[in-house]
Amino acid sequence: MTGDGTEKEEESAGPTADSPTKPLLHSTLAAQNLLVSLVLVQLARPDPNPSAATISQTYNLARLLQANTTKLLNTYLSTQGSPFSDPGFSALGLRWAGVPVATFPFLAWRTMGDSERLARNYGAYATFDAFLQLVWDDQDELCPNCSELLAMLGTARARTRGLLANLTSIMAAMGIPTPPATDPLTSEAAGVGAFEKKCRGYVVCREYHGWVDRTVRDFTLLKAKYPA
Amino acid sequence: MWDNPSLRCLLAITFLHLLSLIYSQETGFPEAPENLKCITHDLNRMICSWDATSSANLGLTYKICYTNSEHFSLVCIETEGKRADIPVTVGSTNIRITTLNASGTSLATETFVLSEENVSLIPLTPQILNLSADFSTYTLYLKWNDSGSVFQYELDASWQIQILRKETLETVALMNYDSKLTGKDSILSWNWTSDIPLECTSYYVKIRCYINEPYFTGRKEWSEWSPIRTVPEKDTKPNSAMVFPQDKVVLVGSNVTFCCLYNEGESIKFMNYGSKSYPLLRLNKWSSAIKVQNVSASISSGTNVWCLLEPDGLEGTVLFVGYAPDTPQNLNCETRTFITITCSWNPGRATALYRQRQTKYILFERISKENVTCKVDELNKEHYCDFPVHANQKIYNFTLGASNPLGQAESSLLIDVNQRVHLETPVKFTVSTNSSTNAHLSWYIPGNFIQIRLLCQIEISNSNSERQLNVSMAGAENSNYRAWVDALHPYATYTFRVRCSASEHFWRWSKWSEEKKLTTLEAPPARGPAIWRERSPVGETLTVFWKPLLLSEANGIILSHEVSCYSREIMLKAHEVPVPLNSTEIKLGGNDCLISVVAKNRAGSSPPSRITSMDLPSDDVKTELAIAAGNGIYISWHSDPNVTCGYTLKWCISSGSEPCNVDWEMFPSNATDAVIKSALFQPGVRYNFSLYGCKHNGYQLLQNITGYMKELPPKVAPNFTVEETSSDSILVKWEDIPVEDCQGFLKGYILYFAKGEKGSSKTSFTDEENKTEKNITDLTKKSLRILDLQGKTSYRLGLRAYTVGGIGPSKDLYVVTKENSVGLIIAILIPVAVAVVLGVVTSILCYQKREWIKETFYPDIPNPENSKALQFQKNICEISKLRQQLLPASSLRPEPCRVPPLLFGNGGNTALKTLEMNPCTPNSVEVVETQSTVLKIEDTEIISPVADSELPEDGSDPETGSHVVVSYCPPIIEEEISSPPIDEPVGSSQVIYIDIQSMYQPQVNPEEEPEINFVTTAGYKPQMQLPINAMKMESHSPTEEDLDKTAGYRPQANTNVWKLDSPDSPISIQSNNENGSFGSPCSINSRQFLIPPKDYEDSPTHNNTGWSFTNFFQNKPND
Repeated sequence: MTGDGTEKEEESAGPTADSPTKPLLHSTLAAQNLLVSLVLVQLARPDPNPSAATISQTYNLARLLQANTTKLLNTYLSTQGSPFSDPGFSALGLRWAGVPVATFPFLAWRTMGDSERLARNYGAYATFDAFLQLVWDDQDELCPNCSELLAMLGTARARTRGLLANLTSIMAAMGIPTPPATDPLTSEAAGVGAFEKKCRGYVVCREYHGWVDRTVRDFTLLKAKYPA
Repeated sequence: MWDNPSLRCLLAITFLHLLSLIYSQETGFPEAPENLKCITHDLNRMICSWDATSSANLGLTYKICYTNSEHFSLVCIETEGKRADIPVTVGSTNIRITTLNASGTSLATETFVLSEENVSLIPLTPQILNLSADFSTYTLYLKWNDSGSVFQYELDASWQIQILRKETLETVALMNYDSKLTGKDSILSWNWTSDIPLECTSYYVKIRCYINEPYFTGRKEWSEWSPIRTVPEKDTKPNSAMVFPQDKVVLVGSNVTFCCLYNEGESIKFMNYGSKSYPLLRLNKWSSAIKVQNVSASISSGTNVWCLLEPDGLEGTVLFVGYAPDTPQNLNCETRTFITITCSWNPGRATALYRQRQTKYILFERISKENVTCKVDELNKEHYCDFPVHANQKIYNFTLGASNPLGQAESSLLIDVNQRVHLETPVKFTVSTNSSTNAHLSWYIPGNFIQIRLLCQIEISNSNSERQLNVSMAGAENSNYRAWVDALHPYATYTFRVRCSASEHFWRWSKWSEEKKLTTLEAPPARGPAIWRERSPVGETLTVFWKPLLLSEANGIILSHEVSCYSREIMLKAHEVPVPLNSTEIKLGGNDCLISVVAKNRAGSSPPSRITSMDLPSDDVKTELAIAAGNGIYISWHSDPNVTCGYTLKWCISSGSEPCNVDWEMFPSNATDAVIKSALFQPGVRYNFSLYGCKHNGYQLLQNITGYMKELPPKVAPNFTVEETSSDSILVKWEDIPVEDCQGFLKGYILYFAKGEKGSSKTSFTDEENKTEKNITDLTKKSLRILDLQGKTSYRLGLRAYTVGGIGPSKDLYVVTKENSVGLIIAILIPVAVAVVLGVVTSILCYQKREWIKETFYPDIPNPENSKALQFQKNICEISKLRQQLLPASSLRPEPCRVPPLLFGNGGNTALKTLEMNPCTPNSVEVVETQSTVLKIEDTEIISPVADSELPEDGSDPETGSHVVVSYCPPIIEEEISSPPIDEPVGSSQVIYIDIQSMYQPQVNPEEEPEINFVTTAGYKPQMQLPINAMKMESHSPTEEDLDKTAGYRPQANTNVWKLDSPDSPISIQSNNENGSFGSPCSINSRQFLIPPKDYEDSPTHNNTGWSFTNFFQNKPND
């Protein structure tokens, strides 16, 4: 539902993606400054990174996920009955404790360091990994004949794990420690009602969709920063 | 002591005296007790209280004295309060209350007689021991002590329980509950189910009691209400808003109330069940509800019930609506391995509930009292459950219980496990052979079947047969089973499969095992091939033919055929012909021999087939026709007694340019007919057969037969031409159709012909309606003359040949016949000849009957002077009058009478000019020899008197008799004078004939004339007496009707013609017709010429109604 807007932002962010790492190599540079600039670029550019390929790979994976998250969200809503299945349903006010939220102040996001960026991604997907499993369980209980949804949830979780593996690999290559594993579901006490489960699933699918969008943007940035 | 009646009486008197004292001792002391009231809780003691003023003196005490009914002693107690506890007595109690001051001085004494009726029984106020709630079932559970120990005996007690809810303490329910007090304390319990979730609002409960002691005559009253108790709140009271009930499962059709609880600061916008919004019922400040009636089955994830809160919030719950489990259907239990019994069933109607809420099945066996929980997948239609087989137990009584949150159901089945054996599919199935007719089979069946025998069915099939073989064998445990199959055909491929069941008590077959194929080994061919031979025309060589053996006879792959020639059991020559050749040539060299053919395969040789090479001479071999049998060719022949070893029917089917394939069929000696069938036979193709008879010393050709499998219509139309055409006939010639195009035996031709021109829309003769067809069945005829045709006409011809199979296509020709000149000439000549003959005949007739005609049409006019015909009618004679007026005397001179060019002048003026001549012109004949002025004068004179005097009625003119000149003046003048039309006798119409012939007639004396005239007059009577006035053109047209009115003679001339143009008619006066007046008879009445002049024939205006000879001719062309 918010995919279009995100895409636009991503596109507008594209041309500026190079600028933070290469501040002087801007379009207005004069020819005479070219040499100086190249030197500076060389200085500003981090060391050749073995994770560049993985970053690109991760970017592709994120794009792949991005294509599927909208469908996942729609499929999820269509199987939950009214009001979820009502056309145009959106309850942005709905939150679920523990589910990572993708929205973030732009400036903070833009100026975020690589390690933090990667760590936030890692943390979010580690949580989503658990939540997607939880949603799968909920739906298997609530809607055992929703085979398409269950399959999509399973696929989303498998890809999330792939994404996590990639992130781990990139972070290891960059020397960034992976955040300690936490059980994000400790607070998820049993006895959550069916309606709350449906709401939780909705929030998870919605935020997952948002986070994948954010990851695509993150990796667009990283890809530019670490060209293969 | 109480038994003494006198004492009793005394006591009663004393009591009455005291009673009177209660009311009698009215005191004026304010301290005196009053308003004694007594109530009892236990019917043992009662608490009595009274009112007394004690404001003035503090430290007052009361002394209460009553008679102890048990000991009959007076019991007094002192109390500071205004109440005392005294025993409840049956009947009345005397109570004396004395008010004492602090010093013990009696201030006032009051005595009461307290009767039982004035005592109230009010049970002790009950206390709720426990109030609990089951939120899932909306049920309140209440417990209290009945305090039965207060009474030492059994009593009926009633309880009233009041349920209140909301802060406003609305009464929801007031329930009664009856119990029996047993003399001991008992805990009573009671429950109540709410229609809305208990979480939705606060509930309160209170209780009171009533003791029904029928033998107590006092007042019985309800106890006080117990202290109100509040329903305890749910342990897990949520902080946020919530919708109740949570995740409830209900039956389809239930009515459910949902409530939405929200927090302070929030308000509810709306509340939905599914997608439908329902009206809100406000329960309290923070709770609203909706009532949903008759809920329908929900989707698997349940129906959402949700409320939208202000400012921001979505809360909900899920309702699962479904059905109680259906009775399990088609419960069937059987064993496959004797290790477990598998029960299967159909769950029936879907419950619409899944996973946690789905139906749970438990299989219970009553004999062993074991049960098994069945794991079933709700999404599967067929459910299974396994139960272990117990050693030494054959009978099993199963009950399958189904339950879900909405109910339960069950099905039962009693089985003998030995009778319910449904074996597993045989596996490891192998087939092997080492012979041409046998095979060994082996398979494996899992399970322990030691106690039973097995029956296995082996299916053996090949391309054209299928058979099943049942094998019974002893059961074993997890064993291989074997079988042996014989009577197989050599070198045949068979497909085997096997299935098994219990032998003794058949229940069901197992599934078929997988199929296995096996080909048996080869064996020598079962018989020799069918053979035939044909001698070359010269007889030097013999071609031997044989037919390939059938697969079932070959017993393998035929590799070659050995052909040998025996003469007296000595093999002269032999040679082997490899496959696929099926004939060989043998040079006989003038000697006949016995041919032997043997088929060989890898396993050996077939028995030999033998045939002699000898051909017997045959003469007079006839060729006969076979009958097409549709699917074959029916051939019959005459039985030949010399044929001892059968008949052979040989034919040859050629395909294209290759030499034809010889084929034959043999028949026993007694056969006389056969239907020859062959896949190679084609409909519409002619086949030739030769019938040979097998005699003891050789074969003899008996008959040739030709025929069709199926006759078809000829493929082409016969080629035909028109040889010659005449004006009325066409000669058509045609050619034979080639045999290959006949497609059957030709039966004849059909020739169609019809008028038609090239390019006409008709495409075939079948559309032609006026076609003529000729059937030519004589096949030798090759031409046909079509007769009776019209000349110069286009004909369309079509010729079609036909066979039994139908009529072939048509070939069409267009022919134009020649013009018929003779006919035309005849057509012209005949009418001309007829006309001439008619004319001649008429002429002859007329000539012969001229006298009659004359008499009829043209009688001599005896004496015009005396003729009555002279009585001309008035209007005609007006001219005469005129003449009389105009003519001067001089003009009356006799003038030579001429025939005027016009009878009555050329128009009025001309008439006037020639009036002098008129009186004598028309009808005077001048005899030249005797012409004299005198005569002329006399003639004039004759006229003159006529003009001056009236003509005698008889019309006779005696004076004219002396004249030589036969002249009569048109009697116009005289008539006008002498004969007015009124006087004219009806019957005396006369015709005056002006006839030139009169000249030739013998002169008649004037004296005789009247007689003749009379005779004429007598003989002729004009039937038309038309007044002269009517003789105008428009006035009258003598129609048939008019003619009919006038009986007798009718003028046969065209009266109309005459009428129109007669010289007498006014119009005719101006006409210039000179001939019109000459020689034409004139009727007085009609004033028309009886014989019209020739000129009138062509008159375009004539309207002929009468008969006319001329008209006859004229009218004919018009017809």
